[in-house]
Amino acid sequence: MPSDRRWRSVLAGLNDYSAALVLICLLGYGALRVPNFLSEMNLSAILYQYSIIGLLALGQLLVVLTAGIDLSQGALLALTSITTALVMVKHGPVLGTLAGLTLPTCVGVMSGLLVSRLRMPSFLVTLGTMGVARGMAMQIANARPVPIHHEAFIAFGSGTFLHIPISAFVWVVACVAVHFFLTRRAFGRHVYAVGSSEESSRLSGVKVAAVKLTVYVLSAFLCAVGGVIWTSRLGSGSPVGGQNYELESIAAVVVGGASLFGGKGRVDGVFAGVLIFGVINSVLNLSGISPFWQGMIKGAVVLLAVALTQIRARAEAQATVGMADA
Amino acid sequence: MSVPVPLLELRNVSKAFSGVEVLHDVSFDLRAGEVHCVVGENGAGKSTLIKIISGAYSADSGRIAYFGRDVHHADPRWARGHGISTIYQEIDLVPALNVAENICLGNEPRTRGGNVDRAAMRRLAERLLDEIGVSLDLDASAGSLTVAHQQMVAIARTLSVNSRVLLLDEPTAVFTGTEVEALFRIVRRLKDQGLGIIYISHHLEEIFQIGDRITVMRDGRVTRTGPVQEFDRTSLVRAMVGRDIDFSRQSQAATPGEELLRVEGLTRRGVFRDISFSLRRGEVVGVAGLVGSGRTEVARAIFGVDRFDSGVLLVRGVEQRFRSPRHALSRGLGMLPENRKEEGLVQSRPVLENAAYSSVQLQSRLGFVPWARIRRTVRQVIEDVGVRCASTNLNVRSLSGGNQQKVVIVKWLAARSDILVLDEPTRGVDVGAREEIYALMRKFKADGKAILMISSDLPELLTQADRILVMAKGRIVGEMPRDEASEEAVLGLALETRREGHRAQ
Repeated sequence: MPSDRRWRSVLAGLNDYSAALVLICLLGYGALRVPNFLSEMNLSAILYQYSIIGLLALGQLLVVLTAGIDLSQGALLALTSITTALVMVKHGPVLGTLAGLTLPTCVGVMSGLLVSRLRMPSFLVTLGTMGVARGMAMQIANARPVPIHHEAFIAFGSGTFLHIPISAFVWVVACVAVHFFLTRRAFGRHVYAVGSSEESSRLSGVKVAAVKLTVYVLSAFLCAVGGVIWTSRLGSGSPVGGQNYELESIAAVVVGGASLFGGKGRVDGVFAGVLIFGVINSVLNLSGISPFWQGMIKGAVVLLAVALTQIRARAEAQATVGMADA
Repeated sequence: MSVPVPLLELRNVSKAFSGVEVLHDVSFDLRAGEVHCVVGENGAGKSTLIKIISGAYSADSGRIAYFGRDVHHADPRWARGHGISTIYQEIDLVPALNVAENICLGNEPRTRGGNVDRAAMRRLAERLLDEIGVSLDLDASAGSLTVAHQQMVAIARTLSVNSRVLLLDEPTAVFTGTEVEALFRIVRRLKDQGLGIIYISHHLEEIFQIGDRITVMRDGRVTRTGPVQEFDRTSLVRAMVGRDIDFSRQSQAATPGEELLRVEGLTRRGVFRDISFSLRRGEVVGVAGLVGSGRTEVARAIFGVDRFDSGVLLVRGVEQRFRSPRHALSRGLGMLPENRKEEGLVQSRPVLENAAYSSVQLQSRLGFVPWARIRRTVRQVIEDVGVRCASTNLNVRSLSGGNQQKVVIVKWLAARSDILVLDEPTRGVDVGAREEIYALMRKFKADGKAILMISSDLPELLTQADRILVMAKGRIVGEMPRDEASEEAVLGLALETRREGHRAQ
């Protein structure tokens, strides 16, 4: 029945953009009910913090699409931060930034090789590299923050263009790039293929190991980019930064509609997912709600998103059975 | 007429795994433009042969020549790149990608900038589907297609790499009649284009329909090769199993006893409705119908796997509404699920343990598992049923399909189930084991058990069931005793309603 089919496709469309709808509702609530929500300072604050989570979430999306998970993200951010600061103090901002981008990416190569070549579970591999990266950061920094005095470098992190933080532009550009990579490049389509059915991909001649290696390297690189911005804004390198950032990025990816079983997920959903947490965070802060409540509320949002996804998947499966008989 | 150079030739190929020889001195050749069927029981060595040709395994000894040139490869990518394509039994599409993307996967047309050229990809996909005479929605995700359509996509994909040799491993395992016809049209078309096709199937009728030559394997050796005209059904089966099997033998007519199971008006919204039938001691009731007609779903609802919305289920005259399979088990029901690999067995655990899963609860005392006693009972049943395994400590995975099926049956016997629901009991099972499963069913009947048998194999239903229920679109559309049933009558009912359904839409 055509009308039924149209209804179903409308529903599917709603599903595809449910994260965006939730975001719009939250923004509406914030604008109407929360004083100072729409102030430039508050909106900038959201973007400063969440564009970094957003960069991590992009990397997390790539890994999650291959049915993996990257727990090392927060630690990689800290490793970037401390490496950048230490090298910068001696050799200037250019080399500092380069070093900050390189070292964590190498850790990403290690995770990627362990997952793709030795076929170790990503959960355990990145739990391990998380420890390695965090430990390394603490060791080289003697567990102390390293202040940075390069004005130009600091200006980049807290700078704005057209009243919008530069970090937000970096994030948006990264989103567009990853979206383009995932939808237009053969390699990007292979990311979906590997996550959806690894064995089929292998038999089709997809270079499964290369795809897996690449997503961990890209995830680490995006962490490093986020880490450089974070360091620049903070004005110092910190080995304890980025604590639990990987959990926020996973949450954003899930709320953005990606499946932790791989093969399903899109950049626009994750983009909305990140902003959802940004807005929730801001609304709760402005409303003076205690951080403990905030933790509980954010946790509940993740649980709700996962529950809804499950119910939806089950309803869809039911619908297919029904169709076969109809 | 000169003998054409074979496309592919294997000479005296042997292969052993950890000392056990699975291929012994096998010679085989494939010519351009022929369909060469390979038949044999499970474990005869067909899969190993296929895997050596497709490059997944390397041969221990012997020669392989492709276009007259020797190859020493064990590299699936090399084989694919040189035109040897395999369509595996488990269809290997990527569910998340659409039809066009699946056809071009690993081989995507690129623009000059290196991006995927979507327009070119669609054109290529369309042309390849056209080549096999199939039209499909290029944007549909592979996961949403029927198995038959998925297979067609898989075949179209092999053409995107200019295949010369196509291996089809049990391509029709879950096909309906019309789907088989469609596949045959494609196979004939590819044959006319000069491809050599290796076709593996348990369905002997198909082999006589589509094959040009047949190679029969048994115990890792080739027992006979020849043009299809040299074989008939009996001689083919004899070559396969080394003995005669009489397929026409019907089970004894039932002398049904008391009613063990009765369902009245069983309904699950959107899945099946108004299902009523009864099952008596010493009776085999067959359920026919197309894939998707709701047969499996009814079985699952009876066994407490899924809920039903309304209707009555009576077991031994007492109304039941099972909350779980375990609940059903405690009332004497047992089910052999359609998909034994995933639902019937725990592949990575030993035979003994698998066979004991359902009875552990019944036999335990104060929560302790009396392994010694369970081992005794299970060993006894395994022997009765005739499961062939070197040791009951072997993992189920290492058993052949037929023997795995028997382990599931053992599991329910050990739990003393006397109402058995068998969903496709002989799917993917070789001829010899199939006969043994039939013998088991006859024995169950004699022992006074009741069997509900779902099957897509009409000859099987017509010889083994006492009564046949025909399902279509989630409803029972007909019931007939065996004497009045014929393939035409059953299929007619199953299909006729289907067509009406389409009109109604």
